[in-house]
Amino acid sequence: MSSIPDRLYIEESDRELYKKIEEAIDLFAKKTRKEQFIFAMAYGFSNKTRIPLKKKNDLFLAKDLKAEDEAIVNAIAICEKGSLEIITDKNFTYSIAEEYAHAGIRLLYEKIESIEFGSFWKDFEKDLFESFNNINFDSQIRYEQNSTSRA
Amino acid sequence: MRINSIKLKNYRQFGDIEIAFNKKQEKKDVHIFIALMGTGKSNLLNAINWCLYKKEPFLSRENKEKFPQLNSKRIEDAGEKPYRMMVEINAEAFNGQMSFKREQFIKVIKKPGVLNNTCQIERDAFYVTILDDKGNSKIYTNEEAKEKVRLFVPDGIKDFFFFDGEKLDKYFKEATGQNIKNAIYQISQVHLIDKIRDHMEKVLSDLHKEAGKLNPEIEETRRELERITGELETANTKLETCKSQIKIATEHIDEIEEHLRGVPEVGELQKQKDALVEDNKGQEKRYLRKVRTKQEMLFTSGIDINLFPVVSKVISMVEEKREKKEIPPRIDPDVLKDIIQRKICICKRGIDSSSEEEKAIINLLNTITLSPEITREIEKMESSLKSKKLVLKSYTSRMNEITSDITAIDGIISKNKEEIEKIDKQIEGFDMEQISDWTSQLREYGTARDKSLKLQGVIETQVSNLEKLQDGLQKKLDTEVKKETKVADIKNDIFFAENIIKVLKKASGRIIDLMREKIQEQTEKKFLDLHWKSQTFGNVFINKDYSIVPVHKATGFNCLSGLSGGETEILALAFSFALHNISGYESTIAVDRPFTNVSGITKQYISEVFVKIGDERQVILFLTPDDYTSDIKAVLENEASNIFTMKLSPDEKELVLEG
Repeated sequence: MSSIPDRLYIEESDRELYKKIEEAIDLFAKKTRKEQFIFAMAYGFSNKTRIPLKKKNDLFLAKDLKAEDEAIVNAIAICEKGSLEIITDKNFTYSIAEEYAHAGIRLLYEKIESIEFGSFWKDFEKDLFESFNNINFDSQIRYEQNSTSRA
Repeated sequence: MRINSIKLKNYRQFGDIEIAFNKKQEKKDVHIFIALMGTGKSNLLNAINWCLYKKEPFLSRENKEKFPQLNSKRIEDAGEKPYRMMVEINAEAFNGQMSFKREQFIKVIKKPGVLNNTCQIERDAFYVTILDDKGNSKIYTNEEAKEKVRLFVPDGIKDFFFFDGEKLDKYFKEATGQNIKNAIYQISQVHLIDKIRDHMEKVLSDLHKEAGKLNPEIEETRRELERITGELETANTKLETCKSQIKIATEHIDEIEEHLRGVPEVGELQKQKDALVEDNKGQEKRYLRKVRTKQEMLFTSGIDINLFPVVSKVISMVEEKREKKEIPPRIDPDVLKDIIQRKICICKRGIDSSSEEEKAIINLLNTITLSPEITREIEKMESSLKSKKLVLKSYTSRMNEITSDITAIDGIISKNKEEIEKIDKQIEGFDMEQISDWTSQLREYGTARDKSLKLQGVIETQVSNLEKLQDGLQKKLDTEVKKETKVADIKNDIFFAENIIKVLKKASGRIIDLMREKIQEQTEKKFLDLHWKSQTFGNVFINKDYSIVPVHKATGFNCLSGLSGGETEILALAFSFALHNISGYESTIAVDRPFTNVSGITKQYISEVFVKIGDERQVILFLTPDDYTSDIKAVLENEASNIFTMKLSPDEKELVLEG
């Protein structure tokens, strides 16, 4: 029986990408490694891409994950496996999260490279606007994008 | 009176030169000097002034500090011996010849290095020689020589003979009522009457002293009267100074207001602009804070929106499990197992084997497929996921709120910027520094005038009180003297002296008034005679405060401020002419650059005026080649007795005269 992992990893080469994204997005630089990881993981998941890690490099300790972080990491694993029981397998849940974060950080970097400098949030807001409008809540909630040119 | 010739030796640009102002037959007594700027035109006028008054009024402060009076070539060649610098004016006056000669012997002390040479005056002399019509000559020096200059053109009124054309358009702004009053005072010769009055006041004072020796009451009153008279004189001097300050401030205020006419309220606009710039700084900070908050929202919501499918799916899975009762509601399966094994309920009651209770517990245990650990984990997760879902529902309203906040702030910033641009456009093209300088000067002069006006009120009250006091004391003194029998002998002398003083006071005032009226009459006559638009103007008044007022014929208004540069120049010449006629100082009129502030056809009119003046008086004009345009030349060339061209020598150190 494998032991419970005490930390989460990224692909070694991704560390440079995290740095570059920090340089491009001011707010990203102000976030903790864990927050950056979760953001990348969510981005990778929304793009339905996960890539297995080849050469692992630790990023932060598992104890840094709060209940709400643990909840979404578990939720992704449950969806992948189709079973609630999988949440006890931390090796699996963390590994899935790492694979999505690995793909996510690469996709984020590609996006930043492809758009005009300083326009990330405007572009991101637009993508979120589309994703949000596809969400089907119990009651129909829609929001109208009303971004300013400087946002 | 006219200048026949001027000799100059080693004075500024003039090496050794004599200029003869011969009046040619059939020509007017008009003499013209044409020279480029900086050649030495103004210095010829300075030479005349230096010779007569030892002053150089046409020298800029810069030139005064930069260039020594001694010709620069002499300074270069200087040896041990001193150089003689001299200006001599030979003039026709009082049916004879007058020669004014000022000379200085200057030694140049050479020191190594740049700007280190200095000039030391070893001897300074001034002589006036008068040759009468019988050929007798007499030389005057010191005070006598100065007295002869006063006969030619007194220092106090020289500005009405030697003009700086560049300032003629502002002539009546600079030659204030006070200057004109002084000029009239000088030519009225009332100073002689004033001298007699001063003398009589001393005599009266001595008589009072004498009377006081015989009666202590008289002495005491006399002393008090003397003290009050002294205080009154001081107060009157202060009042004059105060009035003069008010006048100066008012003139400056008028001048600055003239400059600022049509100029926007720069101070107010600048304040508005500063307030807008300051507001925008605050708005920019607010804007950045809101943008940062929005980015934080996008970061957090980005995670939640991107993961919404898993959140939603897992919540559904958990709910499905709960519906199937696969998730035990607050029941631990181990407790159920323990009950079945021990056949004892939680309430300590026994349970029979194969009883309905046992069957029910076994069924319940079979439906529970998840361990208590997993169940606890799922419940915790479910709560977090549901909370995320709930927060996400308000995403729209939160995002719309922050976006509209940002849009509103952005709107304020843009509006402020538009306002700033508008203000910038309003003040565009204006010299802000100059305007700000004028505005602050206007404030300063306004404050100074207000203070002086207040002070004037205080001093006037003081003067009035002192006059009453003086009057009372005078009456008291008169009464004391009258009733004192011991002073009977000097009573008559006192009253005689007092009457003389009264008469002299009246006479002095009356003479000045008469002079003013005569000059007014002559100025008006000459102005209308010289002016090419004689129908435009009615009278010319010299007010009691000695301000000059030309009246517009049609409207009857004072039109001094509406006169063009050329018209003001004509008025100045007319006034000077009147002053010359009344005073008897019918001397030369010399004008440096008379066309500087005149344009178009007016130049031609003014040159015709000078030709006209040349019928009665010697006129010397100093022009640049640019001033001497073809239309001016057409008027002056055939009328002028002499046209001199002034040029600098090739080494630019001495002046060469042609013509």
